[in-house]
Amino acid sequence: MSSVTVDHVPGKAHDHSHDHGHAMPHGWRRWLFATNHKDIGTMYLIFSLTMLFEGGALALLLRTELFEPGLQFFQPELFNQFTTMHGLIMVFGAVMPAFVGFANWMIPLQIGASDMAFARMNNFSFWLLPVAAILLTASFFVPGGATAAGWTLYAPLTMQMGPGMDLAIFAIHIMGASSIMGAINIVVTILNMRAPGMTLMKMPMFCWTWLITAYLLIAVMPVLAAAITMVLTDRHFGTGFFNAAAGGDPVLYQHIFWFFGHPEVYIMILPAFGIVSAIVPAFARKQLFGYASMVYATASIAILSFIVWAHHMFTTGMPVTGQLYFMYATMLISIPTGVKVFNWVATMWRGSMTFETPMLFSVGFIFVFTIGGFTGLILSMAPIDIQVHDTYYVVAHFHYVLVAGSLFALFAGAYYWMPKWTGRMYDERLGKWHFWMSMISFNVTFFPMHFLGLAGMPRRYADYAAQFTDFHAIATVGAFWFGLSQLIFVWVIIKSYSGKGEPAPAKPWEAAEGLEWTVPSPAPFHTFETPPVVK
Amino acid sequence: MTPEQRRKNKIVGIVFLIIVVALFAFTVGRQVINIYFS
Repeated sequence: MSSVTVDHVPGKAHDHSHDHGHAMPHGWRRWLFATNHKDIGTMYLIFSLTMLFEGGALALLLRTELFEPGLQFFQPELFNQFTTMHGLIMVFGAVMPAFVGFANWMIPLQIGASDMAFARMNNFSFWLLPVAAILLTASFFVPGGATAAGWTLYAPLTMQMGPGMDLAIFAIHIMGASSIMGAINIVVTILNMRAPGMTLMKMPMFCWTWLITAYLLIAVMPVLAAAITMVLTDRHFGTGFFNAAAGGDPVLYQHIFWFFGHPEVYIMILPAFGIVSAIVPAFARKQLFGYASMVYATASIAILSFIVWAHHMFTTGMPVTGQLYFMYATMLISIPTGVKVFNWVATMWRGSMTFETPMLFSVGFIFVFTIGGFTGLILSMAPIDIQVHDTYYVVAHFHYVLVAGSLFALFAGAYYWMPKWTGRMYDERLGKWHFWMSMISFNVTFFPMHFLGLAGMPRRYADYAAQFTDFHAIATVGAFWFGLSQLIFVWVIIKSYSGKGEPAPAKPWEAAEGLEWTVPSPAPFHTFETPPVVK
Repeated sequence: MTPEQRRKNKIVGIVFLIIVVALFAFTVGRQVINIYFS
């Protein structure tokens, strides 16, 4: 943030402790009919954590099968269902809703708004998610099981699936509608409901990254919806969009999907950048270095994300000129991303740093996400990508970006804002244990996958040649270690929400900036009913 | 929230909704034209 802080807000201008009992519903009605951004934010976060564990359980089933060569527990068909559902659940059920949860909780508090712009639509967009999650999970139990086409749902595989595919399409439609409504809500809230004096260039970076993310969502979710609608009509209504025998083209699906899919990657990482950009200055006790360049870098990444989609398709036989274009365009993304990493490091440079859990996760994020960024750069080169396409190298790359990137930033943000949410300080000792266990086990799980990929181990295979055994065994041990480490996080949350721990002051971090720290902890049910004035 | 702000929110929301519907229609429509009418 361009050094706008709360101390510019006159004490009288913000209304932070008026918890109007008359407007606060109780019991199940409070949650089912919730229109309060904090309640809806909490529901999003609980939902996404639940889905994280469902997706994580599927990942552990995959790793169990892969512990040693041969088929031990699952047939390849079921293994592919687990792979597909793990991807879909983690992307659409865990990571995206988690960031929407953060947006619901923090954006109104950070811009001085009383609530989100469309409170009832906010309720609807949340409650669509459990319905979609139930459909997706229930698809395991229909004849033929869940879809096994991979989270990318490529044609013609999607034509060969049973009714589980239709449930997945329906679920993705519902989750897409939820995302679009959430995105419109966020854009309108940020554009129309900022407190007087809170100009765009004074907004916290988290709001900026979410504003740009919401634009991305609005631009690409309808494209995904269109793609899977065409899959549906191909399956049931005799069209042939992606059916070569009917005059269509399966590769067309890949183009449409990745026009959504690549910006989707940034949808899952830009808000993470925003969280880290809030935390690093707070624990380095310095202003964020290069606020304006951070904003422009975020916008640049978003714009570039629209023109690089076919780097996911180098092996489809595109002309060399096409490969060259997509290769160079992809490499360009490393520039604004590098600007961000540079700015975080420059913020820390000569700062009075302390390493509480949010900072540990943020520094861990910068370190490990950068590794994922570099492997992305390597994969952007067509000649290399053609060699390692669909191998474990790619699996390692995107888990470094999505787990050590998105998930670690989510943990960082959760620890950072938990005192504001619960009114209690979390258990710092457990938080540090959570970080170190996660960090080490994450690398034990995913680092060996680089070697597996370079040696030729294909992804989405239930069985493998004996030469890959050792690295797979290490990865499986790491995966269980990582999974168990997340139980520490659950324990931290339970402790904090059950009122154990020190009562949190309004501003528990001495150098934290932002309007959210001007309201008491826990944040009252109603905040900023009278907008604060930011100078 | 003032009625004026509500009205403003609604207008911006509807604009984005139109964009969403247009993008969906364009993506499907373009493929329909390409495959069946070209």
